[in-house]
Amino acid sequence: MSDGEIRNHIGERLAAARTALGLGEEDVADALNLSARVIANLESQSWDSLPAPAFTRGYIRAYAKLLEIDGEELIQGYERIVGVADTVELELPGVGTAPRAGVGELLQRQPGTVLSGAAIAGVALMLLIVWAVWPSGEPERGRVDAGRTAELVQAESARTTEPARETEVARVGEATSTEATATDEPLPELEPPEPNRDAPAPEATDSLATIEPTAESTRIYRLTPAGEDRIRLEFTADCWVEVTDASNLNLYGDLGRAGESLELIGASPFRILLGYAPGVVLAYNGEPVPLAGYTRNNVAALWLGRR
Amino acid sequence: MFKYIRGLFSRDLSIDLGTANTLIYVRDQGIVLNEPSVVAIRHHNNNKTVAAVGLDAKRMLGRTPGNITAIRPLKDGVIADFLVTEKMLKYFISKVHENSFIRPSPRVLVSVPCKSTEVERRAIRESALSAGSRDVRLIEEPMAAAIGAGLPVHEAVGTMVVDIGGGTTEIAIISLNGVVYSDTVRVGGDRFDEAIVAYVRRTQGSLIGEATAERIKIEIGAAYPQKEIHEIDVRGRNLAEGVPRAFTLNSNEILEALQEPLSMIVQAVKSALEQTPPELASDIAETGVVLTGGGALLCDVDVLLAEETGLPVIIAEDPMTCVARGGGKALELMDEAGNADLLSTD
Repeated sequence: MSDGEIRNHIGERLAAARTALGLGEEDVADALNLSARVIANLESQSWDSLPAPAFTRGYIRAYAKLLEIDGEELIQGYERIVGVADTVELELPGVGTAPRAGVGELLQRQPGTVLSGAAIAGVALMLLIVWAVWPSGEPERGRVDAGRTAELVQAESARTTEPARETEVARVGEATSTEATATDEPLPELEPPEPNRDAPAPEATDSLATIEPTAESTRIYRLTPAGEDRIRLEFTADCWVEVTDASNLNLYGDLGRAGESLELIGASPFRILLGYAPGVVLAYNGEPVPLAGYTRNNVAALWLGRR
Repeated sequence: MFKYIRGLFSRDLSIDLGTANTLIYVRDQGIVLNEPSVVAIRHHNNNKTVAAVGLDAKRMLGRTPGNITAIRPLKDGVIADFLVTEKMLKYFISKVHENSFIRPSPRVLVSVPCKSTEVERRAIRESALSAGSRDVRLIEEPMAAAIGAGLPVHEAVGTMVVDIGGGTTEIAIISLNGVVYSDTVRVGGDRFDEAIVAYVRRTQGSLIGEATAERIKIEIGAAYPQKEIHEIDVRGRNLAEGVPRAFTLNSNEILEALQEPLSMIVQAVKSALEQTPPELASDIAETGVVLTGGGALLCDVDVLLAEETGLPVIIAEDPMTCVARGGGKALELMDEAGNADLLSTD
């Protein structure tokens, strides 16, 4: 039987099946708890007098089940009658129901698909550009890194292969300036007088040179900008020397090598610390200072000058 | 801002977060996901990782080794395990957006039981938000079910919906886009399974799993005496002998097993009818009660209710997916009306 025939014969088929079973409208109405009017409307296909399609569908199914005939076929016929708009809207999402995705529906869907498609294409283009730029950037960065590491390696090797020269250079630097390079705290107040610091130093060297012409390597440091108190140290063994002022500010600190002489000039008082006292001969303003009284465990710590 | 852009690549989803199954409806596409609400968790040195979600996890139910537990994060229609629910939602949402390369951030409408508390609703909302949703709206399940069943909810006519889900049965009387009366009984498909397990243990002295019980229910379960008696062969562990044994069950036995949970549903429907205002009651008597949810697929459950209540009872089209479809339709209605509060519960 074709769709059109089913459409026009839903009521008739129900009525025929009912009479075949020998049931009256009232019996069916009782069995389904529906009013006899609803059964009559179903059989006469007065769809307008029946409630919402959702209910009518249910009635047809229940009726068909009661009469033991195929209800689904009748319901499909009914859905075509009540209008595609209603059923499609309500039923299209159904998983179990037959697919009804018509051309119109696809067209309706189209705008959204096109829009999202365009958006995705745009993003893809952006990604492509990023991709194109990315690889060229990567090796460049790598190259820079490589260059830098090469430099570092060079510097490293230079430092390790020529440590002696470097320390030599450092020492020369120290010698030419009175800045205490090895001190923990830099002395900013000592820095301004640097230009004129060299001026008295050569003079002092000259005077020293006249006093001690035999001194082979005498290093001279000015500890404070003013003052003419002199500390002279002659090393017979390596010894650590540290000089601080009255406020415990570190003025000088370095290792004296065996055979060297060191002369420190500045305003007293000074606190002097000698790491290995037996290896040092100390003189203050030209007078020898005996270290025995200040030495403990070979370390001498004493004040020089008036406090 | 980011969420907005991600939102352009996401779809509006309607989620029926059920105790037994989670369904996702996507606008213009229909139901795209229908998977059991089961998550398998692997324990490893106090660390928990998700081993499987959905169908894969359901296959593991009752068959897991010691370090894997397959759990249902929802119980009685509400969240029992917040973190696992979040993980599950995240998985389902990303599964729906499988073909997109941007992390999805969809607008989501989740259906909640009528009788759920504020705390439970908040938990569902938060869990959907942490699963990556941009905007979460909630709708009461019977309302979504009624819309999904195609009932004229906006009319000044009373309609009664009975949504028999996995964990709960929701009964609601709806008129003018609102719920006039609602009730939730914590009886659903799960309780049917439990009743079958208990019955088999009592009468056959054998233990069967929930998965087997569900199979029995689907194949030969009935709510009303049948003209033909159907049989099914099942295997279970004999409690006395301790070894697996095969035995046969028939539909009348299962009908007997299901009496208790079914009578609870019937009782709830009757008490709902008692509470209904007379005008609406007459509407319902005229048009009938609509059954939705997976429980409506139980053979002859409509006949049982029709006999007990004396009202016409009809089963909605595709009852399993009514809630999810109705949620999707509700989202569209909300957009059309430009009013987010329409239909929404808050």
